[in-house]
Amino acid sequence: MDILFLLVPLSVLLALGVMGVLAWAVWSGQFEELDCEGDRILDGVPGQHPDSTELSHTNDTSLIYVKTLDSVAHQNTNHR
Amino acid sequence: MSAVFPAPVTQLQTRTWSASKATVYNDKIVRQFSIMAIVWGVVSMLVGVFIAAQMAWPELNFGIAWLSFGRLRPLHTNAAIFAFGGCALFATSYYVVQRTCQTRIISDKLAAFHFWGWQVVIVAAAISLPMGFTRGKEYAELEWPIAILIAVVWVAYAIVFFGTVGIRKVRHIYVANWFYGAFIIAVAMLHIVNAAVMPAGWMKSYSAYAGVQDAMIQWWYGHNAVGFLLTAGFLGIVYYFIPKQAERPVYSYRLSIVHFWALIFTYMWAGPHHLHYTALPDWAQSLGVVFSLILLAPSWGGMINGVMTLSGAWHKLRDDPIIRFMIVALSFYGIATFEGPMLSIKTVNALSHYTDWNIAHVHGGTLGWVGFISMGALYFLIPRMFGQTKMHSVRAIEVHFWIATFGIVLYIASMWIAGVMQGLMWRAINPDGSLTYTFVEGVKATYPFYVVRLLGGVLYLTGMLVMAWNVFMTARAGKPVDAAVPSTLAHA
Repeated sequence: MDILFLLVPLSVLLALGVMGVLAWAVWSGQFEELDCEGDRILDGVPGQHPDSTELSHTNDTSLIYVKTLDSVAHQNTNHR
Repeated sequence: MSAVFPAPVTQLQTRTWSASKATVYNDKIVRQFSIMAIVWGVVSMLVGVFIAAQMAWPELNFGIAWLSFGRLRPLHTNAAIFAFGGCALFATSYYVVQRTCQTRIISDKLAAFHFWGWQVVIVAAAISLPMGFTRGKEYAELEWPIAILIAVVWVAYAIVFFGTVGIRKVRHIYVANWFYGAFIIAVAMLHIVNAAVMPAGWMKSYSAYAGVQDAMIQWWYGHNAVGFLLTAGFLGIVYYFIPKQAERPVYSYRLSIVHFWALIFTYMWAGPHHLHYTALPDWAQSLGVVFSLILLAPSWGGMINGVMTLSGAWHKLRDDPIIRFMIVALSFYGIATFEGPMLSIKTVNALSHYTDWNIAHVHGGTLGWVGFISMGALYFLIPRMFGQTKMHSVRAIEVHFWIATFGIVLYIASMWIAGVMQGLMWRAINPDGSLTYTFVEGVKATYPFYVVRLLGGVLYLTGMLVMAWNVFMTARAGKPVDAAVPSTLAHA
């Protein structure tokens, strides 16, 4: 099973690579504010973003944004 | 700190071609791949129906080598997976990556090269496979010049996709992009390793690996192609298009993140379950079983997450045929990802392997999961790509759904029964130790099930034709429209 000398190192490298990407994602703050990320794609209107408190009054989904206002305030500081 | 508010939202959400390029998304590439997904879907299913008929009535090859089952079968699988499935993945990934990153793709030219290059690959497959040119590896039949073209086109796709993620205007990378990204990287690696050959002429080559080594590489490729192309890629569709169509966020965004990392960490070593009771060492076979069983957890976690997205809005399942396509797709994903680990257990595999049970399993995954989730996403995309609010006929979507569902049930049920029957007949032994049945008796007993399977396939193809008509009418009523990139949020 010489082929394992190719497949095992390849898998180890791949796993290390995946771990590296995971580490990057975690440390760069990709998963800091997960509460609002699922909602954001739903904005029926282009440009809507939880950063925008203005829109929380003008849109059907306002409740979502009211709910996340606290995290929004926090997120803004992250976007500096 | 200045989170700039978006520009005031007006009624005008879309602009036509003439608008300047930077202000609109590249929806042309989405449109092109969407339309070709429908076209190749019809073609692949037509070929599938034809070879299904050949299984029942072998005379249908008319004695012409080009029409023989052995040559058309790889044409069917390549067209279904890489032409239909591939185009659906490309269309949706270009749509999703632009919307979630709120930027136009990084290069229109490379994307165009990706589209036309891929069509050339498909046409080359449609010509070379019936002519008998093949590397003889399942799902990797295409000869080396075509395999090289695939690699080049794939690199162009990867550059456009990851380049676009790189210039995103939104800090967070939406989970669907992670699934698409993993699919792109994994398929590139699998294809390049498995396609290593020594050419012996323009359309002939020999694998770089020999014997059982080659078998191991092949199924390392084969199973991961299922895992990353037919699973991870389409999960990208799940995590964007189900929330969009249901108008609700994914049930648990955190679970979707866990789903992603769990899936890609555990998928790579399930391949050996394709080589049970072969020359592959026993420990490697057992390793394949263990990893296959582990996969049940992330698979079902993802399925439940997708289905529960409808939580609190279950009525949409009744009212909206597009949502129904998507949720039924997830149920088939659940069935296939339960059946898969079960089939990988060696004692079960001893009964199922080489029988039509595998055909049932694969088509539960392809017709039910891959087909339905693609159709759902395409029904979402097509009206938007042509400036319409909905498909020409919602009633026709409903009809498509029921015809196709009925077709799948006939297909899978007949092949399940046929498979178990074949497995039992092949292992039946007389008291004196001789085989109870000859092989051809098993074939004869399968005949009625082959006819039922054909009927199921005809129904599924009929549904696809209804869809093609619906898409044509929708496109004719509208005109190509590229959506505007929202002018937003400069995070200073």
